[in-house]
Amino acid sequence: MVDNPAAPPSSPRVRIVRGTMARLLRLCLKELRETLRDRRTIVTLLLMPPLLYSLLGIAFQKFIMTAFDPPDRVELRIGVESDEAKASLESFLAEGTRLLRSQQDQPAAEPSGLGTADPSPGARVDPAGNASVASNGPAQEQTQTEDAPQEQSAVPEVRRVVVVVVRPGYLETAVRDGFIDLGVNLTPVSQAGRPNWFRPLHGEFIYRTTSALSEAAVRYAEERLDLLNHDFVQRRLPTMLRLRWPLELPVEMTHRRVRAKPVSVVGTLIPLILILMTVTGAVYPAIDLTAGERERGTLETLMAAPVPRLGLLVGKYVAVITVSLLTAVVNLGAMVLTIIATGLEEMLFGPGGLSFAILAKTFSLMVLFASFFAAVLLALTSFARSFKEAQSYLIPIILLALFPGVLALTPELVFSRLLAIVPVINVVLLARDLFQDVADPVLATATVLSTLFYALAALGLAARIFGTDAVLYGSQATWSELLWRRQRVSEVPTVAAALLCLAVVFPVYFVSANLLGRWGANLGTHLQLLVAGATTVTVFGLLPLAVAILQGLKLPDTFRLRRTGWVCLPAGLLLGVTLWPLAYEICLLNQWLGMLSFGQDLIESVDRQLKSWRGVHAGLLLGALAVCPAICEEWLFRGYLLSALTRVTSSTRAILFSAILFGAFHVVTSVLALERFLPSAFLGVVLGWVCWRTRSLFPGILIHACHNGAVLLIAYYQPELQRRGWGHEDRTHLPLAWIVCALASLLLGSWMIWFATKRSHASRENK
Amino acid sequence: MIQVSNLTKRFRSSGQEVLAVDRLSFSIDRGEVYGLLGPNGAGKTTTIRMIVGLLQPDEGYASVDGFRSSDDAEEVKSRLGLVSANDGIYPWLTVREMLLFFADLYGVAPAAARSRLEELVALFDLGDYLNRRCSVISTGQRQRVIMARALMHAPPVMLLDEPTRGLDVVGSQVVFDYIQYLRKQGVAVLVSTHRLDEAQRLCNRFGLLHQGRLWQEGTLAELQSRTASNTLVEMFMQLFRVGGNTAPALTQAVTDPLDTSGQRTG
Repeated sequence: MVDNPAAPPSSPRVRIVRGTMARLLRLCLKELRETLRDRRTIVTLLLMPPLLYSLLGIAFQKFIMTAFDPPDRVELRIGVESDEAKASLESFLAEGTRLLRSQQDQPAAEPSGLGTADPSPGARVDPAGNASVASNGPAQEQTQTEDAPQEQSAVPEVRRVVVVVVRPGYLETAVRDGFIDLGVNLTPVSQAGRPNWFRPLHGEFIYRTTSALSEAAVRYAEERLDLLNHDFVQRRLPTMLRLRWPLELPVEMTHRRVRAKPVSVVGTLIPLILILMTVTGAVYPAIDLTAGERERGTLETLMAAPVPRLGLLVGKYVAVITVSLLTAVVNLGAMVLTIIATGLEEMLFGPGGLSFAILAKTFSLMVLFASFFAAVLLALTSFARSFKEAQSYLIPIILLALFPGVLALTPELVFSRLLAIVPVINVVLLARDLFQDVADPVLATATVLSTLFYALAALGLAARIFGTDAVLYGSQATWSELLWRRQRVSEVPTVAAALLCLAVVFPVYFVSANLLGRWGANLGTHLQLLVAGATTVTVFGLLPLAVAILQGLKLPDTFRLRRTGWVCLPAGLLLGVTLWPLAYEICLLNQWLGMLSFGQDLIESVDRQLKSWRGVHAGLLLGALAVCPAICEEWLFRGYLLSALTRVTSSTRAILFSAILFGAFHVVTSVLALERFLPSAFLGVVLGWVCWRTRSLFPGILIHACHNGAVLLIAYYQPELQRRGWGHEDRTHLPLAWIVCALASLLLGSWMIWFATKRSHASRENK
Repeated sequence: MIQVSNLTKRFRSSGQEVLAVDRLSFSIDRGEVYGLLGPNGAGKTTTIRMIVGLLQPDEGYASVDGFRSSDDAEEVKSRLGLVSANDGIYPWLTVREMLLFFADLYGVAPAAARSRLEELVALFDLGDYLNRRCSVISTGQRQRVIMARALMHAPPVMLLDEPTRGLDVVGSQVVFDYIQYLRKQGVAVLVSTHRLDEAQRLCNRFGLLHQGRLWQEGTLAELQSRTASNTLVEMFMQLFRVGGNTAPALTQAVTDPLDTSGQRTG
């Protein structure tokens, strides 16, 4: 140290800086520098993938060369649509086989042009076809024909042929999906003008292109039916000529090719590879930036800085995602190069090869996977006190994460609305459907939203754990103490706690509402409404209350249980009753934006529900579906959540963020109806502003209840309103006068609230 | 500036409760250097961690500039600098990057941080290794970096926990100069050290901690009159005897005279 410094250092102004974007960016950059300069990361990130994929590519190429050689004996599956057709085809094939055998016994007598279609040399058995034959398709019944004779040497020997009955109308689908190799649609030709003994049939052969099995099946059936026709002509030709009937064949054959469903290595394997790639990339930085901090001895200094833990964690989170994505991109690049270099492109990705669309989809899914896994890994490694401990936590999680990846390999698993909110499984199934071009936009939205939400919740948990004394100094603490330990005496909840609370509320409510919808019909409408009300109170009311009590928060401050000026009440009433036209018009915006997920079946089911409610007293309906949700949702969103958000960010951002979550909540909990996002978010903004302005939950509850009540009563009394000529057609704009009135009411109500809180708000700002 | 009142901390270990800090009370003013002295396990580090807000006290409180650590941890942290022998550094960052990173954590604006960095580089003579990665600098250089890091936000309170541990004579001297410098700047300094001779020279007041309790507190003159000992070392030995922390057999062995063959006679 320099002795006697000439001048004392200046004193920069000390201040606690809340999370600004620039600062967050600097935090991320520091974490990235720290991670990317480590040689171990570089080795994992850049050197391993090219090496690994080259080796895998060689191995895979070898495997394909040996595994996809045609087997010596194959089984063919031919589908028809009825038992009658099955019996006919079986008899035709049996007769054709008999004729073929007799012809083989007398080679000289072989009829020209029949059964001579040479198989294409070097035909290969479609691996997809093989896989599909073994699976349970839509076949309802199957029988085995007699053993087929040996085919020519260039094609595999047909071990046996099975004729199965497929559900009517599903023949083409069954062929496309590979459940059968050939579909034969046998239909009778009109009997008019023909003798009774002659009942010709039209046989349409439906088969897959680019499938050796399918072609073998066509050849097999065609050869026998040709012989049958030939035999018929030989036997009946004199009679036909004598009677001057037109020359007809018993089975007229036409062909229809269908494109094989792309079986996708892409759809099945890529989700698994994506999991591996993103997890591999995220593991090292997640451990290094959490447990590594403690091992290096930097954690204490870091925790001694006046930075909220969540801020630190967000910086680390972005760094982990970035490294994870970098690893995944390098992996992907190495994989693509290997595939192109080894010539496996078409085999793996179909005739189109590896397209930009596939790469774009893959990258989007990587971002989603990385967002989720980075947060989960950070949450887990935040518990660890050393690298070794962190690794022992992560290994079971990585193995667990592989399980949903394997699920994508089961094509029977249908991506449902319930699965759309199950973590990891939802992204895996979305990936599968996305690569097979059958992704449902509603399920995709639900998947993205719920995944990001789980990521937020995991971050919230990490922020609660990271740097606690139990981790920092290895203090003895129970798990419950670790999770629920009071960080400090506080009036309002932390954002981490609020996110954690929401993460519990969303799925619990979603599952309970779905179960109620499924089993509620047996309860009767009255009991169903009561159970719905009780569920709302439990999930939205009691759960946040329990969390707040466990955290030792001041309930009046957390839930904003304050009295407010009397002017706020008529203002709330005015807003509540007149907001619905604006919400309705915003809902119509969805049509313009193309965000429609209500199918006709859903609309009809809502109509049925409305009709059933007409048998219930309006008071009970209002209580269960208007007042109860209004109180409980305000309790959670404007009470617990908004209080937490205003603690760490500006009121505008807090209101907007809580409104977005409010909108997302209504999407997820109302059978994933995307239409509900915009109007709910709009209401969230209004309710948030009123709550912030009045510092009380009560005006918001009044607005919310009145709004819900107005919408409900309009639906309830719809027939009466229509009889009086006040009806309104669904999905059309309201009269302009109504919208103008609603806007005027919104302005007037807002002004009244602004005016009523002007003084108290100003004094609060001055403070 | 620092107020510690009735501060108590218990740890649970293998089902047993250990009283680490027991109703500790003292205060430190601006420009004062307070020496928190005591044997290993006396509770010095735990006390410092509670002052910073890294540990929650079971009873009592610690406050800095009127803000309690348990209630307003961020306000307290923004006013504190922390130097510890165990302080780690980020091995892959350069000294410059690390110092600017910590300035950022403490909310120092980037321009002010750069200017502050220049001042501290001159003060601690960091110029030669400012752009080197922290992993390659020596122990002495590392300690200078850690001290500079604690000063990046010019805190009015500095806590030094065993700052000379592991340092050689030259390295320790830099730490002592540092403490003198802080005193001149009017910073309230709390230093825990076992270098009693130097502590005696540097500190205004002392708190002698033993088994979590403040055994004696005051200026050197006050302690001398109360304990009838001249030096802190003597006071410490007295403290050890009272606390029964010595190893009698070992003490006996080293105090017995040696015979001509080099064997102990006792």
